[in-house]
Amino acid sequence: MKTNMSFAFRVAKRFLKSDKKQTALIILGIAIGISVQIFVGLLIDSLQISLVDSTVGNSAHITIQSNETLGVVEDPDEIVDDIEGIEDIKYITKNLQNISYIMNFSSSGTQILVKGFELEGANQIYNYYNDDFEGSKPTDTNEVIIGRDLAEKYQISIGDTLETKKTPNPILDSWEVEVAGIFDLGVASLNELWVITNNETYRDLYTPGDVANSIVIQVDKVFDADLVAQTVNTSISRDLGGLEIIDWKEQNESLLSGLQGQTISSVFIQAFVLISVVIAIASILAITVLQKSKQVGILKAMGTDDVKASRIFLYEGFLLGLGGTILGVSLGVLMLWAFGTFATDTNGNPIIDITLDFQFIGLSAVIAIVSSLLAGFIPARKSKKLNIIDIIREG
Amino acid sequence: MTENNTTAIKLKNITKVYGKIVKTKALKGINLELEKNSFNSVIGQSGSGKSTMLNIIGTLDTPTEGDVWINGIKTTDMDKGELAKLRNETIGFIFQFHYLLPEFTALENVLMPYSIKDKKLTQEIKDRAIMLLERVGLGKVINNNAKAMSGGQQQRTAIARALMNNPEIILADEPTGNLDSDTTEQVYDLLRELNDEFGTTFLVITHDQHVAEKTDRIIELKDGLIEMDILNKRE
Repeated sequence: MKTNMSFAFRVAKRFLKSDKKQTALIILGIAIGISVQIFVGLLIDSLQISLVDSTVGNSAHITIQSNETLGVVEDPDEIVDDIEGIEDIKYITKNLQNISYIMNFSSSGTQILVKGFELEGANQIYNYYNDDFEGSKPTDTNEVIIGRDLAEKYQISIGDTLETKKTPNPILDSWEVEVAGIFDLGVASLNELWVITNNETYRDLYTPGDVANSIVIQVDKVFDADLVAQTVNTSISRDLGGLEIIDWKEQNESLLSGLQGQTISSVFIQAFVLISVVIAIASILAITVLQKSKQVGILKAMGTDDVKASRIFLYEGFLLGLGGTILGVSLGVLMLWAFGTFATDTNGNPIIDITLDFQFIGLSAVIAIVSSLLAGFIPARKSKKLNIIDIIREG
Repeated sequence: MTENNTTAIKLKNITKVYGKIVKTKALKGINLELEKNSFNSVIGQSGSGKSTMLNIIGTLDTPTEGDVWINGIKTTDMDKGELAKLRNETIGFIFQFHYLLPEFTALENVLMPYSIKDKKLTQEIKDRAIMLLERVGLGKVINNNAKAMSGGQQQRTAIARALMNNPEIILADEPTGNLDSDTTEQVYDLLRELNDEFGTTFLVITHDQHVAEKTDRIIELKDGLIEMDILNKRE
């Protein structure tokens, strides 16, 4: 016997050790429960993350724009200065855009949307310089990058020159731009419509003055976009008349309610799994109290008070919970890894990109251990009620 | 309330009634005083109230009426926690069924009454436990698991355990009830020696007349009353 552990803890440990098979079985039972809880929780989390990412990952989370159809945001730098310091904002960029027409392929023109960006800044939001990007980034004025679908539809290659006009009116002058690169945003409509250039080129072509069509913001936590939008609202010193601040959640209500439903059902499943684990631990420990009633009786006869006697079973609950949690977390992570590795689509890509949320795992572990401790209270109470004399008489 | 300081145990008008609907009176008014350092036996037929009396003295059970004093301290007024402490420090139990904890070794079982206190386990304490095991003739099996020992060995371990905290009183309920006659003889000789050596007060229930005759005082119970109480001083 070591001296540094409390008596109740040592007895609990020895009780568990003395019946290794039973202890292993109980721990396995708890572990399976915990692993299912973690698996379901993280799978649904990952599913939501990849769903949200594909929906809003490469687009604006918050947009500041005019509330009139063709309106603009005047003096946008002043607004950017006001909101730049907000903690949860990841990127801010000014968006300039104008509908134009490519005149190379028909006299009525091919409609495009010319976007004037600070290219590096806006790329952090729209990610056009991704792995699928071909060619080079525009450096000179009159250089543009175009989407893959537009390039394929009209067989435009890098280095080609496009003749563009603001409207397909034959009396208007046209100007020429050179295709420096081809991007792929993964969305066909944008790939066909967007023609991206730098701010200088845009200003040369459209001379818009000191305005932006919108100010586009990405935040750190996408689900907090509405809260950040409120902060943005209060941080802008200028009178907001004529401007509106829209967050992605307002624009994607049906997606959000779908996600919310999924979250609720996930929480329910996890809660029920956890409840069944707690009930299992409590009932197993209650049986252990009966198994060990002779020992508890003699310990009480020797002067173990009720508090210490009941602590034995609290410690048993804690130790079983701890063992079950460690094994359960490992099993759960293993199951997720297996799912991420083997559940693939026809191209061999995982159906869901698994995100291991260690905070969630840690929280689940803490809840499981605390639940086991709580489960120990039922047998602990039972042991308190064990009457020494009944045990001695039974022999 | 302090009693005569040569008295180890005092019972005053102890009655015990079992059952709520059908009432059985196990003890009908026991008055008894046992001297310190004495070796006493209780005899009587089964159902005479021997064990009930012993359990009440040992604070494992409570009397329906009457009071109990242990070393001059009234136990019938104490709460459960105080009683547990009293049992731990003052009383050692030896039962017919030895009640060792099968999950622990002989040495660990003997140390148990000390370990309960959650005090530091010093070498001195460990040495005492080993000494007691040697004293009961188990010096060679101290690290054997309780399950791996014979009935006699287990009973002797239980005796060593009862002595661990150097209690002033040892209560034994047919401690040799399931042992053969040779072992019985050995165990009683041992108890007697321990009584001489440590000055412990013994109260031993036995159905063996031969054993009873070796004790200082024989108390016979019949139908919940003391039928006979004789001093049997040794030569």
